[in-house]
Amino acid sequence: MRRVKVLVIGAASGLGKAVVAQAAARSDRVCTIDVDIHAVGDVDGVVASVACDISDACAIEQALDTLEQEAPFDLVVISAGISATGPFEEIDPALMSRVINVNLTGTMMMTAALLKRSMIARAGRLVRSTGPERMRLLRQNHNSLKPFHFILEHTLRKEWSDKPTDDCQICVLAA
Amino acid sequence: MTDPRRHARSYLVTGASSGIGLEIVRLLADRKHSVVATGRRDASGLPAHFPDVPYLSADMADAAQRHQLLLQLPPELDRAILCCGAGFYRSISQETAADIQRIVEVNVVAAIHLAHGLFPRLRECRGRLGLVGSVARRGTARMPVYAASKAALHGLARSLSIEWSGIVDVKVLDPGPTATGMSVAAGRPADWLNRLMLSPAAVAHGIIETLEEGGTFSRTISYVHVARRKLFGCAA
Repeated sequence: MRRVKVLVIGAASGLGKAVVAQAAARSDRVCTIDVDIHAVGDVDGVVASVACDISDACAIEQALDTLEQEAPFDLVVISAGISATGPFEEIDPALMSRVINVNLTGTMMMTAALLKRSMIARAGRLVRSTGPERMRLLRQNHNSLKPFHFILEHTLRKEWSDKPTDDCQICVLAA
Repeated sequence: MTDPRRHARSYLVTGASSGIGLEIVRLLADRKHSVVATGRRDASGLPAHFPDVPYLSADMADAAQRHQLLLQLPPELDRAILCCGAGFYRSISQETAADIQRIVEVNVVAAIHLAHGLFPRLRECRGRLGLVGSVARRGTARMPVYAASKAALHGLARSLSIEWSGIVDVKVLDPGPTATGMSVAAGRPADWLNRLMLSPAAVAHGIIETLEEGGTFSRTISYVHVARRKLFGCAA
């Protein structure tokens, strides 16, 4: 039986790491991308791991060049993300810019690159993990930018509803 | 409702060289408010009807230019209306990495940078910060990057309105489709919607007035909003 091909982006920690473990446990063929690829470690079932900062467009292209032979993926999970917490006016704007560049720009650049290269299988799944939108009620937590992910999904879902067999399915999971 | 003509205030308006931003500057200047305007164009490229107010040229996609702008602003500001925006009408697989980076930088990162830099001035006078969003933030097919960036702006406003409650009033003001020419420049094909678009002047008026109101941090400047103002003199 053909093994399910899985690509996990942001695989070295948190949800991404857990997804890698689960996919490997069910004998999927797993590829990983992370800025700190050494932290992914040796996991049975992981066939390729590539270092990549997803806020860097060139690094994305290089990483996908390396993984192209493993494509198309049945499941792509983008779990990469960083945060900046504290009173807004006390956070360095450069750090906040970095959060946006990874969480927003990086997600969109990676999504666009995967689609352009047809690296997601027909009827495959693209999953973006995010925080709960309800976190908006918390002060001093700039995860409030998370609605971005839901709107990206909502927009792409609308756009792809006309041709569901040609493109992948997209969903955002809040954890 | 507060009559904005009653008190002269000091304003910063970004994205002021065209579209809604330009109309906001013209309205504020008519009402004798003190305005500092900024836009990407050089001053020599401003339209003939641009009012006689200070204009600082700055590209909001450039962090160094934003930093320089903040240094040049007057020490006291009552209001800041951040109007600058960028976007394309195309699917995500047609977007280039450079365009995605620019759209997010202009629509989100610049707002964060300026909100951060303007906070001391706005706090000093219990001021107001208006972030001009878009109804596209609810999700619009074939504008995924623009829509998502405006959703992020909405999240930022929500967060700041809570965090700065009682210190600086923060609102995100979402215009409906507006006849600014941006949709044409973005590549959206002209259709029946173009004939129904709101005028930039009506939207500018709505933004200035709504920023002075109480209530929720998120407001839509729509056909209904503009019509109710005309009929009853206030928003719903």
